[in-house]
Amino acid sequence: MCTEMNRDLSTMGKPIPLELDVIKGMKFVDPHIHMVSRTTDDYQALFDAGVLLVIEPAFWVGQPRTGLDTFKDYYSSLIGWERFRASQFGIRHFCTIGLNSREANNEPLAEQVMELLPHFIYKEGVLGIGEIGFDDQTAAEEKYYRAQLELAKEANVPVQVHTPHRDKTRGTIRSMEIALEHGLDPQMVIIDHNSEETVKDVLDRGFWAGFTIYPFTKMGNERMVDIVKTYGPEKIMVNSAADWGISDPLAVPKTAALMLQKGIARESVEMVTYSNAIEAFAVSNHIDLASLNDTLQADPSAKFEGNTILRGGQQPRLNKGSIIIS
Amino acid sequence: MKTTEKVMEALFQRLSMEEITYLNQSAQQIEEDYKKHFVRIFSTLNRRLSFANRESLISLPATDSAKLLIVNWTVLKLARVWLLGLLHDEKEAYQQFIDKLFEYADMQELEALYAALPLLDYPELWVERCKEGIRNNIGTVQQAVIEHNTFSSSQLEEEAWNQMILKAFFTGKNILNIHGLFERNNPALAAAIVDYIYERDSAKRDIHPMLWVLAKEALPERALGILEERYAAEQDPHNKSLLLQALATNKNQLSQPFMQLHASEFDQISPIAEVLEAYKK
Repeated sequence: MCTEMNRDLSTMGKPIPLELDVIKGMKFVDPHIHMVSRTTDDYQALFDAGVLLVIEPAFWVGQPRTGLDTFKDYYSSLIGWERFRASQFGIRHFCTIGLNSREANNEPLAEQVMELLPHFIYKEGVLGIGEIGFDDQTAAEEKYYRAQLELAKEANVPVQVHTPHRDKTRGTIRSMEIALEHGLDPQMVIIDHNSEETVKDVLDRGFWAGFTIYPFTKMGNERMVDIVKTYGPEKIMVNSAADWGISDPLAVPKTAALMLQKGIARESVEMVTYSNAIEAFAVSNHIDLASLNDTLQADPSAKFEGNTILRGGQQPRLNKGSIIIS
Repeated sequence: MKTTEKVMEALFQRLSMEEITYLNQSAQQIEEDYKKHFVRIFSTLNRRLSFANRESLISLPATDSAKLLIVNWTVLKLARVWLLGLLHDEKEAYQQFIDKLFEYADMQELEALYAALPLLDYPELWVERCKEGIRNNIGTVQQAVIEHNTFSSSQLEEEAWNQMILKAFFTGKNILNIHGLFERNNPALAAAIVDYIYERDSAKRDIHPMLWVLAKEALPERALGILEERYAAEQDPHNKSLLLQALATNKNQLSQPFMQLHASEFDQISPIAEVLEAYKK
């Protein structure tokens, strides 16, 4: 979400033309993107840029929900309609299910949501629990964060942890300490929205470090290049967290392109934009990874048949350059 | 042999020993206390079958599966349908339980649930659910209700049936996979189809050849004019043969210029069953 709209554009660095040829033939995962808030244009752009798999954590929808049924329908859409919508564009859609930190503060409702979660976490397309954690760092947030860690431990699934914007470093460390206190294996926990200030603490403790490339409020990708140069590619992954705010669904492929341009080795780029996320979220428990290669190599104009190979050419393309709509 | 037994036999032929053992145990647990065990077994089945098995396709001769028409189902779907067939209870408890399965279902579970409609007890309970499935926007779920499913043809009243047929055209389903398509054809459907034909024609878009076949007994003059034009322009031989069937039904109402050009084509007309068979392929 954007809170710094009045930033002077001249402070944002020199623009580099969008040149994706350098990443042609590479495949990407965006391990944090809120597709329910995005358009079909975004799906087509993601597919064209090589993003073959997305992970959509359950989150706050921009305003508070007031009843249980809207939570249920939202979770249901993450394993239903949105998943199908993505498949129409050749993209495999997975999600994590959880009660986000903001809405954890509505305790009577949060109690009911907690009872709902076990119905969803084992469903097809659900990789784990997320995004959960701290926002204002209240007692209620802590209570439901802990309860959901227990749920993840019981189900033996990964956890995707949102870290707060405000008082971030303290919030991040606290999130990890609580996870360790509950006996979670850091290998099963992705600490998200990291910055230069938090990355060392996260990697030192053996957790996965997610970085959100999000204009104005989170990481820029030039800073991301420096982080990978400093810390290496191990246990680091980038995501867009694209949602209903000014954000960029192509953040992962763009960052990959920038990293290559800035001299980071292709294998390292591949780790932070693809394989680390696949490993952290244990995607191979859910699909045959070879089928992702099939998607990459499939002729996008071929007609869609069967379930295993998704092709991005199934949905018609609009001629955006024409004022004619027919 | 009961349907569920035939299904089980076909299913188990595809599975590994380990998978069979698991399903046998599961069946026993469901029989003992379905309220306690079924949801877990049903929902996590995808994680119990190997990648290759869960997505491999299976078809069964219609005679073996009675009310179920098993055509290119995934093994996962068939296994879930089989599990659903093991459920039995008094009406109210049964309905409550199945409703909850629908309510919390993921995409693949929904496909299995709708495919299983013909197998469920108390068919009258599932009519509204079937209509809901036709309204579903997920292509594969719609397909599970609309194609190769005997429930809709045997249970839906005319209005809902007609909506389903129209929806099938609008969403690009394989029309000939609809069970009872010709048996349940009716004048109200033909009227709606004619309206659809006019709209497609005004938009200068393709007109599905099966629309003509279904409405051929009820084509007004304007529709016949469109049919003549589309027939003359049609390139695909199978589509053309279907259009010729609709023209033949209305032979006496066709325009003179059209007949002058095309009269001889009616001489070699094939029986409709053959034309449909060729089109299907």
